[in-house]
Amino acid sequence: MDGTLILALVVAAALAFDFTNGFHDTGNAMAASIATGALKPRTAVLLSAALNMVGAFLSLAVAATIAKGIVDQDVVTLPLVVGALAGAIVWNVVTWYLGLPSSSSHALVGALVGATLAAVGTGGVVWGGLVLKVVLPALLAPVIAGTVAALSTALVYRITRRVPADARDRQLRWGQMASASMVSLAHGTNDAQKSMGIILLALVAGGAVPAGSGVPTWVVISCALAMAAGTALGGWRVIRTLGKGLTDIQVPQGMASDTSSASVILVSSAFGFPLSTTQVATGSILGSGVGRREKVRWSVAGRMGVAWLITLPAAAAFGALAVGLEHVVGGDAGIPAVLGVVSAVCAVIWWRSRRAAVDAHNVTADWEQDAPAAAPAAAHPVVVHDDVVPTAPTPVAV
Amino acid sequence: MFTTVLTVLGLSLVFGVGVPALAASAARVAAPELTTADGGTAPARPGAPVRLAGAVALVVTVVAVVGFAVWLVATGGTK
Repeated sequence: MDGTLILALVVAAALAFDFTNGFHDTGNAMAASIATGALKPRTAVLLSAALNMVGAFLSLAVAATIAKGIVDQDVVTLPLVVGALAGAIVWNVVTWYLGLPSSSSHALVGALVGATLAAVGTGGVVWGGLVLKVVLPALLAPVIAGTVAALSTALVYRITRRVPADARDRQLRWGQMASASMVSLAHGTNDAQKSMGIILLALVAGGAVPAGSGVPTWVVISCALAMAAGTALGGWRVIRTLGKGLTDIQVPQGMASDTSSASVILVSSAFGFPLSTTQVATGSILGSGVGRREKVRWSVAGRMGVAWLITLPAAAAFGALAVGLEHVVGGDAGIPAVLGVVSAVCAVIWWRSRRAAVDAHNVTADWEQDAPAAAPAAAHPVVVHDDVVPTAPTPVAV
Repeated sequence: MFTTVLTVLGLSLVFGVGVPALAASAARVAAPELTTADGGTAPARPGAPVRLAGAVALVVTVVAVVGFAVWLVATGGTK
């Protein structure tokens, strides 16, 4: 198979991951705004899509980290990159179906590490960079975001304690819209870069650009567009879990949590840290609940925590499996075979998700019950779509 | 690394707490009436134009802070 065609398939797969990143992470920016009614659901996702695209052009520091700081560029091959993307896409789609706000960033990094381990062994991974640039920020960012959000929420309620609630919410709603927009912008500065970094890796591996090159402009533009398209699709499942499942969000909390998320993500982007915007947003929402001394559904948070813990190793396993499949098929057919399997998996999951769809009309329905310990968060609320007869428990699709 | 973490924490606190506080202050200044200790409401002081000017000043400050944050990323992160 022609090398250029193979490279084109790899770039297409990277853009597909960017697309899944878009709809998986829409809730990070807009869940709170949708839950409080500050923005209508469809308006929120379209606004988020536009700002994600703008943000993608603002910073390239994270792309550099992905391209050079996680794995040794010298060992990267096109099959390895495809394996990484395949693992990340599958994990993204599975967690999207379950309504779990897991980290797309860690899915990509985990799959990249797993694919590298399967392809060349431990020597191909830059363990120091993985720990310093990924693991440590992953542990610290939600805590920092939660702390900032808790302090911010408490201060906002303190300052406005004598303002009638309706007047307060009416005025702060504008602030919430602005802060949610900032999160979308921040998401674009951080997440679109990851696909750019992967594509750069592929271009270096394919010999299209020399090692050490910067990100080509066409890569920036295409990743920005793919991210925006995915965001515009609206990840309703995850939006619902973040907006209704953790705590009952009021407008001041939404503004405080979104501003906290935007601050942490923007500052970290400036330092080149590939943060999980999902973890930051979730930490902020939890912190806002604590700051308001509101009931927090820690059981839902606990399940998210479990998903976070297993994302890196699970995505690594998927990435390694994909590389293994390429070796089994062998030759130039390996990459198309893996992409075919990924496409089939995505199609099946999409088809299953249509059984009980969550969309702009029912995304803000009340969260009806806490989940049993073994069940995913998205399975708990029973939301009746017009043409679906639910059987309890019915997964709430997004 | 420790210095970087502290810098991230510090800047996050400045923006993450400062911006909502400014926005909340603007809402407080712009409010036409405030609740009283007995649960009722009373007109806020001073007059409406002064309150409006104060609220606008705070909003402008918020926008300036946010713009600085975006500029910080746009210039500091592009390599």
